Amino acid sequence: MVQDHSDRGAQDGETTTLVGILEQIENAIADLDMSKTDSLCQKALEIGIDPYRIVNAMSKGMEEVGKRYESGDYFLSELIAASEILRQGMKIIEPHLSMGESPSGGRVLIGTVRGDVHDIGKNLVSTLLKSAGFAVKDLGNDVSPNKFIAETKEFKPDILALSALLSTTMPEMKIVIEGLEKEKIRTGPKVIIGGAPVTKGFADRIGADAASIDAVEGVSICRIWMKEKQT
Amino acid sequence: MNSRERVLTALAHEEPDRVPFDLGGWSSTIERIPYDRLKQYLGINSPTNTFCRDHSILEDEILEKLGVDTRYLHLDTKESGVIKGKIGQTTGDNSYVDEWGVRWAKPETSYYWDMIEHPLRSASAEDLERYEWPEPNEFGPLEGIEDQARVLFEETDKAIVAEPFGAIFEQSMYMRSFAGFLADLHVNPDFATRLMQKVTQTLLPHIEEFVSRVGDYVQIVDIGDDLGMQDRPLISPQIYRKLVKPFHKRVVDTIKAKTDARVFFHTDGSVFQLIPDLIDVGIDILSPVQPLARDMESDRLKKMFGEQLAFHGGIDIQRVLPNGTPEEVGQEVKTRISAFGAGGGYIAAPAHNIQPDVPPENMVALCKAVRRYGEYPIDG
Repeated sequence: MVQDHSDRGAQDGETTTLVGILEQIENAIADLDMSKTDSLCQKALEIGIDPYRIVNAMSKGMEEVGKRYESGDYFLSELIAASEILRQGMKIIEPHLSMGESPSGGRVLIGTVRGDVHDIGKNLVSTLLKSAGFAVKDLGNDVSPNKFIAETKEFKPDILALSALLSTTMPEMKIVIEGLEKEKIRTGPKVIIGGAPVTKGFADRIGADAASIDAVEGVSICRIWMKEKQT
Repeated sequence: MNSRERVLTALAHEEPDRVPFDLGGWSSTIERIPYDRLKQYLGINSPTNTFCRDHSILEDEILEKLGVDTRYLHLDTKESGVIKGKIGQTTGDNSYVDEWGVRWAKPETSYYWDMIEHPLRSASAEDLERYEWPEPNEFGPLEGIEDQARVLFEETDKAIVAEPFGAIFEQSMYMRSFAGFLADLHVNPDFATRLMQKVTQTLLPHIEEFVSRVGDYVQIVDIGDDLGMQDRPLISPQIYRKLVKPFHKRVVDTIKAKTDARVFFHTDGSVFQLIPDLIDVGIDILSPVQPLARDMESDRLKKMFGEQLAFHGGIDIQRVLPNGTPEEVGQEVKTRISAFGAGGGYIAAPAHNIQPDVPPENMVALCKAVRRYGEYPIDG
């Protein structure tokens, strides 16, 4: 659990320590306090804290949200509210991030498969990946296999993430993977599949590298893959 | 014992001659494609009508053949929106706008209609007040519905079910977008509450008039609001209690003021954590007690809540009905009847509408098994 340091800023006023304000940002995200997150991000920028450290603090807050979700203390609404708070916070920070520096996480191409317009889970994964430092290209929903393949060639992702909510659209995932094989680019990206109906067994059967049961697990799998790749 | 007596006995938590069986409602019907396949399998050749999107209106001949104990009062929703020119016609991109202003589309390769536009997605609190909410008659014409109910009541011996539209939480998500409304509950709770108030104000006159007209003839009033996912509720019990429950209470109180019929509440998924609150709201029947959802083990639900609630549904539609053999379907029915049946309080039904991936052999096996294993006394 993250310790609650929310009073520290008020007590110390202008002398708030750098570490204190970053911890407060982390806590504000974890506790779903949107206005506090916004004002702390603003304040952190004003006192000259490196914007990447602010993003990192928000990302740690999201990790805590993920932990609370995994343990059953948080529900989907908390997870989505946190990602909305993160999105707002990022809007404040983004103009201050220098364009030259690239995210350290890796590149992810993501989309919901053809015939399926459900995108809550996919959007959540996308936001969480961005907060974890991944460069994410989101193709939206109802994406055809050809589009996935063309974009894989173009974007050259480390990870291709396919989402489906419906048991009836799951077979589309197999078509995408077959397309990668046909184009001889299957060894390029790792493929992760996600969505309510997917199982590890299904991932094995269609030749995906992993299946995730929820957004939090999906992001942690992507992180592990990038760590493996970098070592 | 006739069908109506069978259902009423079960709902009084007593054992009828056999477990009653339901098919044909908002969340217990057969979708158009599998229904057509079933009719072909049974050698019946008739056009299929639907009451909403692809939900089939099951014909009497088939309901009799399958041993179904209920009959539904379906509102003609296809006609309703046409009054205002909002629905009834699809546009070139195979989409339509419903009476609430929500746009639905069916991707070319999909079986399902899904929402693609939410009218209050970026609305402010002021926009909520200005929005043109539907009139009660847009949910389907109620004129004459009491005559339909009376005819069903007098000329059949089935249990009659009314289905006014009453999904406050879901409709709020439809208006705002799922993610938008779920976030509102935390970051903008005043907006979320006002939106649910608006939806409730829109729906209550419809519910009240519907139930007033048919209340003397129906045995069950079916409402629902999906609150569950596969592994947990969408929202915490605390958020449910604080923000959503008061609206459900108003809906149930409105129904109970107008009829002695039992209140049936549909919510998919894992809702174990919310059940004590749903009981407190005043629901009588919980459906569909989705057996593969986490914490929804049938025998535990019966043990913990069987005295306060009757159960409807329970027969797995995620794995067994689509993928099992007819023998496995029979076994599944037996399992659920053993878990839920003792002492009454159970209406057998699939745990949702039968989807295009269910073969007709399995639908027939389901119906036969309910009859075969449903005779009281049940082996627990």
